[in-house]
Amino acid sequence: MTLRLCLVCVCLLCSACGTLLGPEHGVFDRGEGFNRASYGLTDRVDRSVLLPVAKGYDKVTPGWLQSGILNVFENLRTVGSSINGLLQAKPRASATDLARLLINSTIGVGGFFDVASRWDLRFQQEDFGQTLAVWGVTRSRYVYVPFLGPSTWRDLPSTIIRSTMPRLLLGYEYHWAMSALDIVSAREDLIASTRVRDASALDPYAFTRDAYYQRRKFLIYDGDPPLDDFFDEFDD
Amino acid sequence: MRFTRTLITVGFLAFSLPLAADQAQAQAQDRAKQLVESFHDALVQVMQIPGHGSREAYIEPHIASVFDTSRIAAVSLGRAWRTLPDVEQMAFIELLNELIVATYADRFDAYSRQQFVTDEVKAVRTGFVVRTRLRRDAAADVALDYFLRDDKVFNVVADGVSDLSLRRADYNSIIKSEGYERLLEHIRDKISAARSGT
Repeated sequence: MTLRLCLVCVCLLCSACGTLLGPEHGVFDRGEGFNRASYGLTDRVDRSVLLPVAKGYDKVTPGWLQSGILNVFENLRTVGSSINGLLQAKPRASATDLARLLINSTIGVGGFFDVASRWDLRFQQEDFGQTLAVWGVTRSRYVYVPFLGPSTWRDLPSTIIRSTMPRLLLGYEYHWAMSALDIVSAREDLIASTRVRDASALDPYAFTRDAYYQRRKFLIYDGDPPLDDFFDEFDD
Repeated sequence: MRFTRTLITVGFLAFSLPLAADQAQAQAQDRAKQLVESFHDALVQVMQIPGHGSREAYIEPHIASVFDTSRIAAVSLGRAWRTLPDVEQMAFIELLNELIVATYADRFDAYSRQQFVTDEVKAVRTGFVVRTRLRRDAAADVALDYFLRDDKVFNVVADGVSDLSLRRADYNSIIKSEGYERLLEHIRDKISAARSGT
């Protein structure tokens, strides 16, 4: 319990110190040297260990089972999304996630079947980073967290909480093998995206960083960012 | 009498000019929608064509008529664009066009009942946005927004991630660290990789 409390405090402190700099929703990468090194290390480990394991998992696991496993972990993360929906004063989004959690945990057999999506109750994908952005923290410095991936100081708490959410919820009953399964299935789900990155990017680091900022802005605006921004950005 | 006639003329103009502007706007919106939908039809066709070379041959004229490659090239290179002589600018536009064609032929290589749906056309300050969705079996929809100026597409935004913005960040990073000539080599490598399917 103390450990969890410390984790939350450290996360809040990090996000408080590392924000309020850089352009609004824009790239601010003052620690590029460290971030590139962190990206390089993570990429090497990924290519030599995690990616081959994820490919092997993809080969031996049928599609329906892969979807079911992803659903189970997403279902556990719905708790955080629902709370953050409420913190952002979006009662409808929060209630949708809560309804998803209840339906998928019961009728959906512990989240294995995503029954709620069939009833048009979509996962709202809210997190604490977005909550801070809604509260006014729209600028933040980029950080590539070793083995966790792209983030900003503002989003760091949610990056950490997201990766540890199932353990935070289930406590010591959550076996380490489940964490391993969570990581491998999430990596398998990203194979197509990383293939696109590898096929398109000349500088994968810059590509990942910019894509991260844009994706975050998209989520902060609930999938509807101001369209004029896309025009203004290119008016030189 | 003359005053009445002037009054009628002014009144007529006051009503008809905004109407004409609205009509022109509606026509431009229709053109934008048709352009994107015709491109989507071409993509559905190209997904069903075997062989990278054949797919490139099919999609190339569509890319030429839909995308404003010279604007994409200028934005992608940023400041470096302005320092290039005209001949090199033209060569870069051609190379970029080759890359776009090869990339589309590589990505849209398998048809499994994907469908494109147009949601709306929005007029913004300096152009139009055609908002569409790619529907796939057993996967979430992908939001695809096409940004147009002067009746041509200059940017495609997939689930909030702008192709042009990424291209600019990517190219400028290479120019800064390795120089313009190396950027051209990297792009040629990407074209070869797309063609060989690696």
